Amino acid sequence: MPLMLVIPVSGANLGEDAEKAITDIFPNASLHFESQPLQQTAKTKAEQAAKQRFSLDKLFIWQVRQNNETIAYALMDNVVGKVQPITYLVVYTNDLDIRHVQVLRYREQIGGAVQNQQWLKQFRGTSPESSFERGKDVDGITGATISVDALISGLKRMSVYLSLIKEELEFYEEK
Amino acid sequence: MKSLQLMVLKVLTLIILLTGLTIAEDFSAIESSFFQPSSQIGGYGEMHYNQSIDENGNSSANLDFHRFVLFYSHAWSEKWSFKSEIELEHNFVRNGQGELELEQAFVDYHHSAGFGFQAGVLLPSVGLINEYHEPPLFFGVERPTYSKYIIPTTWFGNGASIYGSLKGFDYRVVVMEGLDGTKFSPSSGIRSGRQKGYKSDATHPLVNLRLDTRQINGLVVGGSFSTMQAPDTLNGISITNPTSLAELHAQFSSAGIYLTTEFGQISYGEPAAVNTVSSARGYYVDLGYDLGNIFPIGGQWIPWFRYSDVNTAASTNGSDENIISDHHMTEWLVGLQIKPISEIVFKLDYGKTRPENGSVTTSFNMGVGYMF
Repeated sequence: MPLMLVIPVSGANLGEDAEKAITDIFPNASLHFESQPLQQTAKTKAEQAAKQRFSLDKLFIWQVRQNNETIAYALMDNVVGKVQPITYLVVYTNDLDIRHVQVLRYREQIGGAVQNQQWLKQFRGTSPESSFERGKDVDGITGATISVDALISGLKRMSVYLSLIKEELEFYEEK
Repeated sequence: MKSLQLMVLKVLTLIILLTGLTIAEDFSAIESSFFQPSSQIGGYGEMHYNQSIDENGNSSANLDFHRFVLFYSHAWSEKWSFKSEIELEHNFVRNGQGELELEQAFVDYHHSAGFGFQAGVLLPSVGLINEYHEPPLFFGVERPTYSKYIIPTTWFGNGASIYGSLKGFDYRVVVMEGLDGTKFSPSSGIRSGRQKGYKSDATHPLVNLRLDTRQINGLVVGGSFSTMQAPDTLNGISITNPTSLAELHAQFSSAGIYLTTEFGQISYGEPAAVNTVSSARGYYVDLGYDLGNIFPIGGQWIPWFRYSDVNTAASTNGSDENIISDHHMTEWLVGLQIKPISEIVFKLDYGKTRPENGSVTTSFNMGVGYMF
């Protein structure tokens, strides 16, 4: 009976896909997942910096730990594409530079090129202070302008938000 | 002892059960947080000021809200969605002036990145602008001449498609209503043959195939081929005119540089049905640079240049070679594209259109456009 109840978790759902992506980067790390309510002040500042609203009301975050130290954070978030939401994972180093971005769910035809890992690699090393401007810092994609702009703003928003709440995340670790 | 074992077993079972439930609840909560059925409204529009004067001094100046477009879409699930686009051209519709068109209305089944299916009113995948025609996405107040006479943009009709991305290539195959061959002409190519989904003749469908690849960041290279047997009449006899449109396209945008080129050719298997014309051909090249990339002026400021060469009667099987030069034109344009934010554009351009046999026209255009 318990095994039967656990079976749905082992299916290909977002949480599992996210953890697999994180584990591919940090195979020996342990993952600690939390979903937290967004903090209003940090939320407002991040939205203003990115000129994009949060479409979710919670933060979905993994702390990636190895040898009793936090070595990375991973956030899962939504932005809105042409019609459907785009669900992506962004992995940060402990210094909050982007380590990896992956689109976990793309749900329509238009703009699908935004899933291209070659394009997503451009964000590696980007910090919360980076400008994230299409055409300057990040190349665009013909035929995917809306998805590209949405994802760029989403990454800026999450980077700023994480930088504002990082102290509290460390508090969680100490606890 | 046995009861103790039983108790331990029950406690362990409870722990596993609770752990299992907790994990399941966490991740099922994640799943439902990231998708909810919803509807969306979007759109685009553009107002133009068009001024022109020819060598004989004939001039005109018009102010026109050329296109007002609303998108309405709904997603029932992660895989099933609907998208539509309704367009009002030239402010209103009366006495054959202006147009009200349903340019897109289709159900989309997105199975995976590798395969999807659509059915309804669709845009065939031809050229760079037919599917992505929002004003902030192309240079020039008006769409390129090439995108009017070689690619009959906006080309839409009733049909179905499959699409996806496999091994670095984006593919799409569309089967849709064909073109009305009786409307083909040496001066406008296949443009007037579009049925636009109006009780369309389904006896001679069109097949359209497209492949694009994006191996280098900022660069897309691709092409498409569309083919059909266009129904027509010749000397009072019903015939079909084997008609095809082949095109190649490339666009590069990186580090403030914008380079676009398209080349296309329409071929008619029955030239006699198009006044002896056996093909139409054209190309254009755009080059622009975003000054905002080097000066802190805010937004994008892109001066650009375009050269076009279009001939809607590029070859003939008749004896009158003048038909070729009569339909050949070249055009150059210089312009400025200002985007304070990526969804709003202000445009102006100046240029000369030179028909091989005819009067040179000088044009000056200004426009404002938006998308959301």
